[in-house]
Amino acid sequence: MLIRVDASAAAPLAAQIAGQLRGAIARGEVAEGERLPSARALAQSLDVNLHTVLRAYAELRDEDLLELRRGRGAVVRSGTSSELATLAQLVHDVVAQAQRLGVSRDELTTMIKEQA
Amino acid sequence: MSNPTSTELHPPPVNRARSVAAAVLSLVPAGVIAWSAQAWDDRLPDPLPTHWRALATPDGFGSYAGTWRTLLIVALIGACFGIAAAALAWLNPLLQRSTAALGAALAFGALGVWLATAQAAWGRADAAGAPLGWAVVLPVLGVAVGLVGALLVVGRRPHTVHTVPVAAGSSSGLVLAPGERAMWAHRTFMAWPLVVAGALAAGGVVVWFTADAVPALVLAVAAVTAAVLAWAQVTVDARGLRIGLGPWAWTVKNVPLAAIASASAQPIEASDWGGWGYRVLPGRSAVVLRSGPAIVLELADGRRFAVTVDDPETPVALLDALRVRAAG
Repeated sequence: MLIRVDASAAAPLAAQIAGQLRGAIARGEVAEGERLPSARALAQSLDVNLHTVLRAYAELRDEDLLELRRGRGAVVRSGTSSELATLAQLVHDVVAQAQRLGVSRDELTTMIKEQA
Repeated sequence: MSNPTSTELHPPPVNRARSVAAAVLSLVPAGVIAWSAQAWDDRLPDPLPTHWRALATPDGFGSYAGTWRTLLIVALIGACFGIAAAALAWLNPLLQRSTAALGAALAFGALGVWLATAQAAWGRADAAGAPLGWAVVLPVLGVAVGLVGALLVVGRRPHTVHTVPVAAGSSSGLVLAPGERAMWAHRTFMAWPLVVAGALAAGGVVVWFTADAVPALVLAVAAVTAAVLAWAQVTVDARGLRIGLGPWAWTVKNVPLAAIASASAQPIEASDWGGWGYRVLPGRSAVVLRSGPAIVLELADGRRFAVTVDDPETPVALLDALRVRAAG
């Protein structure tokens, strides 16, 4: 998996890392059940703070894409299809776009409900 | 991405007659042990000393039949390696030579242990007072005779000629912005090293109960070494290329970015690099987990390093981009 971040970009580094990881899972570059590099190793490689990587890993855990276990590191959840990672990324993009356009959470929820 | 433009000239294959001679040579120790165990029956005590304190006082004993049979089995395993090296024509010449040498070293080492035991206990009725003394060099001598003998018989170390492959260049398309940070990591897991480790560990337990603790310990170390190869993690970042083995990715190899002259993605054959595992050969080294796509690095000091990964194009492109930026 290839992870690229840019400190001069608008998005926070943790969000960039999370986005790159989502993409890697969606493209199948990291397989189901595969272990990601340790947060410490990833932080050193990207020259970012350890907590930035931990925040990104926690974000993906909350999206049910990763499993975080003490001593075992971050493992791509089994049963995680690449489509789910793609969907998580799309939701992420939609929320970001809504924020940019000044669309509130409630308005966005209503828009999604109207779709269904 | 680059095409494999290198031509690797294989070393000359081992002459058939020479391989057979090496196989016969590796059978000699088993023959000597089997014959002498019968012939020396009335000259040696039963039980025999099997372990000494400070080379002087025996503190371990084993039955006469058990001792020579165990050593015969070890010598026969060595002979199997020698025969396998002669029989398996598909083996790379380098691998064929090392297998023959390993087999002969094992077989002659076992003979050395047997001769040392016999020398120490020769003519004694009771093993208790038999000092080992100078005979301790016999096993070492045996291993050396086996190694040198096999290599003399199969021929000199092969000379390999390698042409340097063309560097990947900037055709990869991966360009890093000035402030951008990037890393590539890949982790593989394979079951076969664990199977090998399990077999070695089982062998170690058997040896522990039937023979001595020392060979059992050697097998245990070999088992751990094999098991560690089941997990491999390759990382490329601004610092260079790093390889970690084992479940916690212990770093076994670190190639700084500045030490890399060029990187290319090309398929490699495990037999061209001396087999599987962490291989160190004259002028080149490799972490080989299977035959197939690999990252091949030409280092600034003229050496080469290869590691097998599933998608070598991406890390090679990243290494190129990182090197271009570091140079500019």
